[in-house]
Amino acid sequence: MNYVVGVDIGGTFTDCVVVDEGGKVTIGKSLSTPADFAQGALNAADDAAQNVGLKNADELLSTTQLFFHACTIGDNTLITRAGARTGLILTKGFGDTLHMMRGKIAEGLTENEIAHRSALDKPEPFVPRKLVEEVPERIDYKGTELIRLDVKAAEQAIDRLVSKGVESIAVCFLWSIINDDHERQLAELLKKKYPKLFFTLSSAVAPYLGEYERSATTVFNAYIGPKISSYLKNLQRVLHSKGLKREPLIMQAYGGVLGIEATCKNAVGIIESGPAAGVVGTRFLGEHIGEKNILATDMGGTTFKVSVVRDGVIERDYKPVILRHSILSTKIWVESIGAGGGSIAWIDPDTGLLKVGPQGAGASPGPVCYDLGGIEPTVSDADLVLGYLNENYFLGGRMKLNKAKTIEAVREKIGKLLKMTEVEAAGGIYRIANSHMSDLIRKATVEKGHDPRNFVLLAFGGAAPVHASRYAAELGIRQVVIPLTASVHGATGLISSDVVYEYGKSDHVVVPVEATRVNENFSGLLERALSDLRAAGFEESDVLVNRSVDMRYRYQVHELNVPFPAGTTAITVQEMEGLSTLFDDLYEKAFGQGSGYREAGKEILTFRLTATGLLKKPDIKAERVQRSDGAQALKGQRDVYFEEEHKFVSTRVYDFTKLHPGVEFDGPAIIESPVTTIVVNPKDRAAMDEYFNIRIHLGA
Amino acid sequence: MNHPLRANLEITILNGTEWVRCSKCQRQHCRADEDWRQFCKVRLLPPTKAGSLMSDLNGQYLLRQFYCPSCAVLLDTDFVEEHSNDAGRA
Amino acid sequence: MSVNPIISSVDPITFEILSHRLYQIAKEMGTALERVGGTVNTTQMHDYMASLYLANGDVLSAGDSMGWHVACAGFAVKRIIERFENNGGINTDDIFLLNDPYLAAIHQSDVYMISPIHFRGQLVGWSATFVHVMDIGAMSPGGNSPGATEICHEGIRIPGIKLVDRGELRKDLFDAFINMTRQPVMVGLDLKCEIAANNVAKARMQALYEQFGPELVTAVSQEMLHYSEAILRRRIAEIPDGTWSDTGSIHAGDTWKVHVTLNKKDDRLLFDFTGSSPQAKKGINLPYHATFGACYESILCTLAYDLPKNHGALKPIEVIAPQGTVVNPTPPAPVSLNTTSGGATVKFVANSAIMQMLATSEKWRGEVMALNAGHRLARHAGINQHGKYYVSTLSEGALDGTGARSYKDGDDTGRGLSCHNIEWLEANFPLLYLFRRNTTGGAGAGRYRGGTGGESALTVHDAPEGKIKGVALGVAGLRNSGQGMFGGYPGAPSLLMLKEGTRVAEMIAENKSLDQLDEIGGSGRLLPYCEFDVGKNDILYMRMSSGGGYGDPLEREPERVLNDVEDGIVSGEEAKEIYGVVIEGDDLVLDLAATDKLRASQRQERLQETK
Repeated sequence: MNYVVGVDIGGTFTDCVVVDEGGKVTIGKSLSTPADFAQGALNAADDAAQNVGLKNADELLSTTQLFFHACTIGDNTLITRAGARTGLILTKGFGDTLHMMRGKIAEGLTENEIAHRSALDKPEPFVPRKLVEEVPERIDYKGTELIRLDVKAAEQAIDRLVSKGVESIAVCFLWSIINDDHERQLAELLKKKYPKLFFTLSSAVAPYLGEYERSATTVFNAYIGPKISSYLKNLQRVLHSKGLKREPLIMQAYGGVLGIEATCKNAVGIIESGPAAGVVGTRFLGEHIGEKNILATDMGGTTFKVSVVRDGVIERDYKPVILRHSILSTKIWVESIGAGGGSIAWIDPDTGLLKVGPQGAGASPGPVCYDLGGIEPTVSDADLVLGYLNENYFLGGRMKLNKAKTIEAVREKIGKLLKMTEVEAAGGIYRIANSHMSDLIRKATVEKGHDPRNFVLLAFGGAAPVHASRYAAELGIRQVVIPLTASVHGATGLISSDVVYEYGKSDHVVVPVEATRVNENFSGLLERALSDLRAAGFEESDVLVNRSVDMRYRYQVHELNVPFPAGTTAITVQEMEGLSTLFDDLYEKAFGQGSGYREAGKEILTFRLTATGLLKKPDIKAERVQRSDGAQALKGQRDVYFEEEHKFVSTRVYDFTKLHPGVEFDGPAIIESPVTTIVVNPKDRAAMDEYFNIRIHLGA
Repeated sequence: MNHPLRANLEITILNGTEWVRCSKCQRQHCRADEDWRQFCKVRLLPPTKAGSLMSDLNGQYLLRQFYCPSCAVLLDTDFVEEHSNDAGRA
Repeated sequence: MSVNPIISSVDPITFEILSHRLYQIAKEMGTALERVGGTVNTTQMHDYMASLYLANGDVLSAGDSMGWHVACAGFAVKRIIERFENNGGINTDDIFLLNDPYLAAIHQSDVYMISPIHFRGQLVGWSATFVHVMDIGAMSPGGNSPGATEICHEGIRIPGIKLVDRGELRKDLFDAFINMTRQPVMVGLDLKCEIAANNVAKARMQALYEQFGPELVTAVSQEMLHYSEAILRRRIAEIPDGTWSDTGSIHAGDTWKVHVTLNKKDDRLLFDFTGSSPQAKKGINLPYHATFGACYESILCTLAYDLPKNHGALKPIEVIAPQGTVVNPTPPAPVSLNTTSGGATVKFVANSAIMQMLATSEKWRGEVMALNAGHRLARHAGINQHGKYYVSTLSEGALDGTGARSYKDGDDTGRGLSCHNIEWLEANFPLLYLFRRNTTGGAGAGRYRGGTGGESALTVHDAPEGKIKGVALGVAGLRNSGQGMFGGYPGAPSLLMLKEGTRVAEMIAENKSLDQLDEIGGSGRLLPYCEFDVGKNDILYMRMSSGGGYGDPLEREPERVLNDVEDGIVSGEEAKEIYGVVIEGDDLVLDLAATDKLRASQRQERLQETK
């Protein structure tokens, strides 16, 4: 028997998903081991192996066909400031580029933070000013060399950095995206004198216009590069010693995987790759259930995240903001706010109003109901008071919740001050939390020109199934899907991934542009793509190529990414015209009818090519569907407070493990599983589909 | 009621009257209804005392500073037009 | 803890949810403007506004719009109501345009679009936007006209037209308007994006009314106004009563004064601008509604920073500005330069008075911040390297340093908008930058120093005409840049300098780096408000504002001064002269003992010299 394995290392848990040749899915879980993440990966693999019926991880790995991996080490290294001591080399005269941040002190801050102007501060730089060196050289916008690279000055600059203990160097010269000669010359100097020193060239890692964002991207790459490299090479070694034959494939932030070598070259690509795995899983699930438009929502302990799959394509962000820096690395597009099961409810002393979040109670002390010392009421506490959560069956009974303490906390800290009962107060907390989340989804969809009513909503993350129907209903969404694998959504996404390489080139051309110019640009990218994929073991017939361009109306700053039809054949004049029309359409869809001013003319700024090496996807078995009302899964009933009814309602409680595909029943109902609780509201209807996912039809 | 006035100056009440005093050395400068600047040590200096980039102001303006006469803490810095009786904020 | 709830007629949960929704809608409008319009002014300089209003034109929710524009747009809505309610009517899906500075705009470049919102046939509210358009048909390209002596020199001036009539764009009016400008395509795009943003607002508001019903939305709207007013009044009342004042100068050839006296009694604030200079025959004059708006903004950024921005926050404020002065001009006084001169100065003195007030409150003194009084900037125009005529702004204002706070430094180059990447500028305009960096010696000294501002230099490159034309704006002279607070030193003045006849071309040919202006030769002159050319071998040097310092530099921790010197913000000489900190040698070693000694002697020196 051969297996496909995915290991997803998160902040607290490491999940392992195993799929066998018959499409059977088995899960393993273990605590993450930050001191040496690879250990936690092995532990989870061990757990999964045993659940499959094998002896241990060795047996599993030696029969593993494909091994996928996602981790948070990129994010962690940045957040904990544990990266390499990094130096930066810039064009003379522009040495403050990274620190100036183009003046963008408010980037990445919440609305409330921005409003408080007197408290604003730039983030701590990743490269202190004393580790920035400037080297005389200059290239212009055409790529013409105006001032030679001063080799002596360059050497002295490098020596100075090394003497200051620099372990990694980022290089970003102006216009290296059109002419990378000077950066490559500098690379030669580095390789000759300091062959062991890690370095990154901006023209290699982010060949796009904008020296601030490009230098920030290059710095991030140089900063985390050494650590990522050593982690991945160690992981590969360890797995190999345990019997894994093929190279592990690593999840990138744009929702595809790459081998170890390719990942190490472009370490910045794995920052925030964890959520990417979940969204890939969302698309995969969508393919199975026949949904092409999905809003993937993840409600964790502290953060609520939204991503979008539209027409089967994951929406991307080409200029994401990471830790308050805009960078030029492709990522899936994610919107997030501080809202989760652990968000704390509080009364604003100034105004007497009830607020929820953004502060969270975290894992420790956690919500009041966890009885681990938490005293501030949270969203999960409200869920308990309202009757959604079962104090005797939380996490499959592994954890008992203290309802009495919770009721008291909600009453004393919130209810009394609002002159409400604890139930009314809990209802208020629930409503406000849901409104934050629906507002975020609204922002995520409507601002991009999508109508949420055309989407189904996927809910994963611990607290989501208690809230999803309500925040979805706010937006007119008609169906909520809670996947079987919701608790290991990231790992599930991993095993449904393809190998994906991203390429791009900045070239500013005014439309109409000759097709030859366009094809020249793309063929350059295609050549590199085919070479990389061949080296990764793919035949050209297993490679899917997508080409697109970033376009805008002239005199504007904002761009939209516009796709060409898939494939590699030369772009024709007709297709160029089609592109232009498509841009007009996409623009109006996003910004309203009549908003595009076609007379302004258009221009293309960036050419992008995505090359996908298709991997065989696991065949998730569809079960036979047998209609029933789920009576055999009934485990009891309890009174649950439903906001829309303004009262407690006697509610059926079902045991998830006893449901089967084809079960269907009306709300109000609660479905309890060992990993989550699903709430079905009074006017909704729940069903289990052939893949064991729960589908809630709203207002049915 | 005692309350701050600005950096290094505070309002304090003594025998029912409000006074302005130095927050560092407690020197009583004047009553709160008087102009405390009149009770400070004042200096007029060339603009470049505020930095070399102020050289453009040479000949036109003078740097004016007010200090606590007791502990010399700097209380205010402004510029005055060199050839006028301008009361500050050139 | 017992709390008196501010909200009475609506349950606090619904209030929280609905008020946030209204804020979101205003924000969405702003985002639509930024994304759809996308011109330099909207995206980089945030020079736009998008807000929601009650049916009577009172501000309901201003999102993130710059404060003074919100107040002015409130005037605009009321002017449109007056003009059209009995003449032409205010119908569903109408949109009005107004840019008259004597009615609501600050200067003609600020083009307002005002859109009524109807629900089931009833007028329930308004939305309004404005965008600073790239040209308005004034004497000088870009709108700001140093040569204008009356308002008729400053471009098209519309007191109110119905640009969209019941959903139909009036192409004749649209074309007539953009036809007056040098950039009809770009201005047209700006107008279209304003229409789009207003349509966004209308759709969202109608959906909100549909979902919650008019009674509830009206009740929440009223409560939001009441909420902001009640909390702001309470906060004002907590501060000791008093009077504070400040004077600012506008240098634009001649000198004009702006004087304000702020009086706080109980929960009311009165800004009195009596004592300000008579109006000028130069475009520095600031119309009354803008003067009012500037005072409103000073509150929104401080005492009301976390409160919903609406009419309620206006009510505790009163502004007196005598007619015929620079802060309340009458026609035909010109106004096109006002935002960066009169406007900047009014904002500065209003904020200064507010800061002095906040310093007297234990609770609010943490909000005190040294203020910037403006900066120089330039519009530029010409034929670019791709053969296209353009008008744009060199928007380096984001690189202003911010002022020091009472408990920490200001931020270097951190004003919070954004400026373009050099590469973007060089791709779109016939320019070559020599450098862009922090200004050494710019930051205002103090116990907490100001943030240093940026400086840059450029020359023309591949310009088909061999040059570009510029318009220099912003108050010249001392009274721009960051002003020091409570002893802190001012930031270095912001300035524009043109160096002519330099050796740029030669030096490039010699492969010499161009980052030291002194080495490039040529003769330099400071640019006042004027038009100028940048030709071959000319260099335009721009220095932005640096933030002012707070408090006594002799109280700054020596280690911080060492960091400043290591980072190239403060020179070793300044460290000694101004901070009394001794840092020796090339490897920059801090000598604490020598520092103590030097500071003691500097304190003695202060008390010794005679007055």
